[in-house]
This record gives sequence, structure tokens and C-alpha cells, in this order.
Amino acid sequence: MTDPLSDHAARLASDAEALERCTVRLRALARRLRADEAAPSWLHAALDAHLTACTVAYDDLSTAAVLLRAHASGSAGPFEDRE
Amino acid sequence: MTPENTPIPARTPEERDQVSGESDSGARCGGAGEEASGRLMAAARELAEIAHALREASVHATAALHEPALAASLRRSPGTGLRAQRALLRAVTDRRGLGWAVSGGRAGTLGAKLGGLVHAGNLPIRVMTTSLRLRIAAVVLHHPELAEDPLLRRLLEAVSADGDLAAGRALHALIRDRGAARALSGIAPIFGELLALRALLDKNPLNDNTAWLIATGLGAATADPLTGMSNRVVARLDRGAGAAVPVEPAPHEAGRLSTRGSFLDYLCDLLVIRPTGRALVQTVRGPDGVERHVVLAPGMRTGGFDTDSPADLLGAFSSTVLDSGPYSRSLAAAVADYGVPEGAEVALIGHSAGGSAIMSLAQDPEFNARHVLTDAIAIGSPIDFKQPASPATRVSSITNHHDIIPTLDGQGAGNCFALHPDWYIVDYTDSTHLFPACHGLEQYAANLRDDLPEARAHLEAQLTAYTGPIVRRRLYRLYDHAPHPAGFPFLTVPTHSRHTSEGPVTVPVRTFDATVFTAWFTVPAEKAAALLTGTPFTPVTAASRAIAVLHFTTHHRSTLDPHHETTLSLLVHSPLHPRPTGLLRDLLRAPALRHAGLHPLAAAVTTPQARAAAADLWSHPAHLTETTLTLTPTAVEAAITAPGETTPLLVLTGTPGPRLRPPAPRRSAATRVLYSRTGNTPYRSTLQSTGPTTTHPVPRLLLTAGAPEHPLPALLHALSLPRTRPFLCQTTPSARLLHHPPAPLTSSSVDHPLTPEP
Repeated sequence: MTDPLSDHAARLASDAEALERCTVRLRALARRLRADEAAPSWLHAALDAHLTACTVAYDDLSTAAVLLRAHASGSAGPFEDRE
Repeated sequence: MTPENTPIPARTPEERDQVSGESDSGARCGGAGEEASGRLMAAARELAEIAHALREASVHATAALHEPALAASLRRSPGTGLRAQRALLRAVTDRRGLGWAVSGGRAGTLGAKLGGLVHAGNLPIRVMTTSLRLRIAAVVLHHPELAEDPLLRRLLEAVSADGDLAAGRALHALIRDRGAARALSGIAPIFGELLALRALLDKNPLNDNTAWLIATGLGAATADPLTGMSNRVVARLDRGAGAAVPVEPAPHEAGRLSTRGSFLDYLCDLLVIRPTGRALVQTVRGPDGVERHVVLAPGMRTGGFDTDSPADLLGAFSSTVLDSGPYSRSLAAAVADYGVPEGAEVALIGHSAGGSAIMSLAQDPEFNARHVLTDAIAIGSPIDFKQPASPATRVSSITNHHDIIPTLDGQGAGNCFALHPDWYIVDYTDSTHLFPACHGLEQYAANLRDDLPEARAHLEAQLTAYTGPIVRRRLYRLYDHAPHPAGFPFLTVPTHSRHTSEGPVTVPVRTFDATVFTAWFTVPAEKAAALLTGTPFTPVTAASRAIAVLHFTTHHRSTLDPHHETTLSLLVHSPLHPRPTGLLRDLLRAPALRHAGLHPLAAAVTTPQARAAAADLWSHPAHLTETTLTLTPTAVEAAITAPGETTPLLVLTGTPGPRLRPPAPRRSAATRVLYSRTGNTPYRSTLQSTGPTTTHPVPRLLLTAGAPEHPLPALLHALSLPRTRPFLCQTTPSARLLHHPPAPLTSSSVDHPLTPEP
């Protein structure tokens, strides 16, 4: 029987990787559209904001994944939660 | 019918110049604008995918946070447990990251709804909002009027901003300035995106899921994007197994239906039968000599939200939302009734709700098991989330950017997803057409014939096998439920045939619609008895008076031909046991069980068939006459003349007078007991009737009999009724009648009940 906490931790780690890929895509998208005259002017600021938020979200999820995995395995993790 | 001589309206050169079309065949027009729009759409699609991934991550993080095992493990390892819990909470609430991204599961859904109420933003929604705004920007490149028009621009800005009130005001200003039709036409190309944007940004948490479905193209909008009310709940009100009854086209329709089948000819036939709740099934002999079949399904029939037609407004709604509904099932019933052979090739063509219905039928595995569905062509229909059961079915969809109807499943011109790369999609714009005009099949047909030559050529080529002479066709009226037989249930009875001098008559004689007027008179008892001398009948008398009754009946629709019937009768005792002292008890019996009844002395009818039935079946004298009867709540006028004569045999005129009480619907049929005779053998029959009857106790009517040379006025004179007034009258403006054949009243009939003649 699998440990539900470990399953969640694995899924969170996978999601964090997905968010990392999203960040890469956003960065490429922003770069591509910055050179596109057809792109509306409001788009660039919006994409930059999304990029920043996505990066923070990736950090949050990665941290949560590690801490949850550490808790699931019953050992204290090397990370301290940030305030 | 040639394409040039069709119901498709002609287009002016100016109108043709204002159409730009595109199709997924690769032929595009619009040049640089098209490419720029494509780039923005591709970017919008990426953003939608990113938003969806962010949302998925939010759901998983929320699930982890609310995992019961986590709470249970806190006792074992409170330190690491609390740290993990805080990190998860941070992940789904960090304003700098995912934002208030609690979602999924019961707790997550509640949390999301609470967040929506207080307008707590989250990253998945912000990214999806950017995707939607980018799609709108891409559509604006095709439709510059969206940016140039100040009112439309104001609406777009308000919708994209975070304010319900501003968006509502902007929409109100647009409608007030343009009218609803022009306002809808203006925003039609971005209608779905506007709805999704508004739903994502408003404070109503109930419509968020629908907004996400519209924005991601993952499925049809299952709820109203403004209120969040479930569409499926409403759609499921559309009930019925579906039925199809063959009908004949009107003469002017029959003359205009095509004799030859081709793509444009099938559109013309759809225009001929119009959205009237009917469908057409046709057999065409293709160039290879093989007979194939085409089903044509028109759009919604106007008039009523939920009628007995599956093509009503509710039916149009359910055809869009559900995979199967009364409309698609009634089309299947039409195909079955037509007798399309198993394994035959079939093409379905539908407009608007008909297009949704044919696609629902295309999804039906049973239908696909019986027939080879080669083509499904939907025009102006919301079908993005329907998928044929057979991968070999070629699906074609033709939509106008300004047509709102195809966007009702959430996907319109602003759709950035390639939902069906294998479909042939014609999505074009025509700035001269306003909604709802642009939704009409006439406009689509005209555009296809004149303005979209590539699309026309493609569809004509696709239907090559269905091009050729029409060898058979059947028009069907469609129903939610199989219609009851005429006269059901009162007139749904076993019948048999009886011979008369004018040919066979089906008995009991049934009248589906009749008008009945009855006048009651008192006559001298001795005069009545004198007329009944030599018969087995005795008049019912009281205080030396007997009762005579005149029934005037107009049989509007009957198993006999339409006719008038006037009968003069006397109220008599049962011929078997005349019991004057038992009359009161007889009155207390149910009408069908009474012993007393009416004995017709003579009848005046207006057709030879009715005369033969009266004389040969019920054995009372019947005379062929001409009759007029006018019956209104305040006037009665009846006149009977011999054929070709002008002098009336009898006339009854006047006013019925006050009613005893308002007509009340009967809970059971009224029964008139009738006695006749053949020789010395009395016969008893019953005439049952339903329909509201009004009694007038003080009629102001005058009966005038003509000269006594004719048998009918002679009877009136014999009864001292040359000029007299009835004491009572009754009117039944709309009645159904069931006149049973007579049964002999003999001792032998007790052991040997009457059997019908072969």
C-alpha cells in the first residue's frame, strides 16, 4: 500500500517541474512577442508579471514537495521553511 | 432546379466584395493580417495550456493540504508535519506566486468560491485572462470595427478590467445605441471570449467552471456562463423518445423540391421545407448507379419554448448540450420509417438546431451500426464538442463569424484550439450581415453559392456520390412523443365494417369534431302516441304531454364524409318493459343504463352516405336535404330545405338565452339511448358524446315548419309543432361523437348476441 503523503509529494515535485517548463515557455513567449508588432502593448507587462509569479510558484511548490517528502519519510528535511 | 433558379437569394456585387472566407483546407485570404492573427492565436493557445497546468498544480497542492493522512501524521512528527503543512498553504495562497489558488475537491471548491466572492486573484485565472484578451486581440485584426467603434472598444476594455458594473454599463450603452440585434452582431466574433472573461473576473463563483471549459476548449459549456445555472438541468426537461409521422408537402412545396440532388440542391430543399418541425429523407441515385440517402434537418421552429415538436427552443437547447435528444431520436425514427436499408450510405445535412441534431445522430452507435454514415454537414450549428461514432464520417461545419448560434457551445471565431483537425471547417465573415439575419439558411446558402467558391467546390466534390436524380423522398413531421391517434382515447375503439347501399361504413361511426344543438319541445301525448301506433314504442308522458327533441349536428370531421344531420325524436320507454311509474328511477340511473330513450322519427342529412347509414344501420327514415346551421353564444339559425328548393322545410331562429351554468368539462361521456326498429323488432343503440355542453333553460327560439307535403314538416305538423318554442335547449360547440351500431332487443338476442356482418 502506497503512502498517500509520498504520492502527494511525488505529484507536487512533478507539478513543480511542470511549472518550471511553464516558466521557460513564458520566457520564450515573451521574447517572441516582444519582437512582434502585432502584439498588443499591454501584453508585455502581463507576461512579465506572469513570469515572475510562475517563478515564485515554482519555488513554493518545490519547497512544499521537499518538505512533504521529508515528513513522509519520517526524517527532518535540510530545508527550513521561509517566512 | 438549377442553382440559378433557386430559393437562395441573389447577392449584389457589393455584398460579395464584403465577404472574406477561410477554411481549413489551407486556402486563406487576408494576407499579413491573417498571419499576425495566427501568431497571436498560437500565443493565446500556449497561455491557455500554461494556465491549465497552473490550475492542475493548484488542485494537487490543495489535495495534499487537505490529505487526512497529513493531519493524522502531525501527532507522529509535528515538527516536519507543520513545516510541510505551512509550505503547502503558502504554495496555494502566496500572492506573489499562485495567489489564492485553493481549488479542487470539496474543501478546495469551497475555498475557491470564498476567494471568488472576495475577489482574491490567482495566477491560473490571470494567465487565462491574458489568453482570452489575446484571442480577442487576434480577432480584432480580422474585425477592426471592434477596435475602431468607441462603444465596442469601451465594452472590451470594461470586460477585461476588474469591474462588473463597468462592463454592464458598457453593454447597456451599446444596446441602447445600436439595438440588441446590432449589438449582438458586433460582439458575435468574440462572444464566447467575452462571456468567459466576464465569468472568470466576476464575483460569481458558480460560473467559474463553465468559464474554464469555454476558455480551454476542453468541453461544451455545461452551465450558463453568466449565472452558473446548469444547462444540463434545463436540457433534460426536453423529454420524449422522438417520433416521425409521414406528411405530404404542400402543393407549392412539392413543386419546388429538387428533382436532382447536389450540395446546393439539398440546401434549396432545406429552404423549401423551412424550420417547420419537419425533416426530409431522400434517395438519390449516384453517378455509379448506387442509391444513397440524404437526411435534411432544418433549424428551430419558432413559437413556444416547449411544444410537441423536438425542434422547439428547448429542443434546440438540448440538441446543443446533450448527446441525444428528441430531435436526433425523431430523425432516427424518420430514417427507420423510410426504410433506409441496413448498410446503405447516408449523408446528414442540418442547419442550426438541425445541425446539432444530425451530429447527435452521428454520435449514435446504434445508428452507425445500421447505416454507413459518410457525411455530416452542419451549417450555423454549435457542434464543437460532438464527435461522430465512426471515424470514417466526414464532418463539415460552416459558420459565419457574426452568427451567435454556433458559439453557444462556448467556441467561436476566437477559438484558438484546433479541436477537430480532421473536420472541414468554413469559418467566414460577412460584415454586411447582422444577427439574426446572418444565421438564416438563406444567407448561408447565398454565401456558399456566390461568395465562397472554394468551399462550395469542396463540398460539392465531397458529395459527388450523392449527386444525381432523386428517386424517392418522404417528408416527416417530427414529434417529441409519438402522437396519439385522432380522437384518443374516446374514439379509439374496436371497429368493423357494415354494408350500406352507399358502400361499406365503419362502425361505430366516429366524429372527431362536431357542433351539436338540441332543442326540447313538449307535444300533446295523444299526438305522440298516434305517431307511434304500430311500433313497439310508448311515449314518455307527464300531464298529457310528451317530449320531442330536435338534434342539429354538424359533423365537421367524421368517418363519414362531413355532413349535417338533423333528427326529430320522441322520448319513449323501453320497448321491452315500458314502465311509466319507473321513470323517476330510470332518471337516476347512469345514462347508458337507462331504459327510456329517444326514438328517431326521421332524419334530414346532407350526403347520400349519411342517408344510407341512417336508413340501413339505424333503420330510421332519412331524407336528403340542404342544411345551414349557425351557432353563436347569442344566436341560433338553422334552416333545412329540400335539394334545389328555396322554401325551407323547417327553420329555427332566435337566441339560446341565459346559460344555466358555465360549460364544465365532462368527466365521462354523455350517452344518448336510441331506439329504432326493423319490422316489429326493436333495436337499441347508444350515441356517446364528449365536449362542454351548455344548458339554456329559457331559450327565445322559434321553430317554424314548412308545408306538410314533405315528410319532415309533416311530422312536425302531426306533433302540433308548426310554429312553437322549445322549453329547453343545449349547445355543444365542439363535440366528439361515437355512434354505436344497434343491437336487437329480442329474446333470441339474449342467447345470441348480435355479431358483426363479415
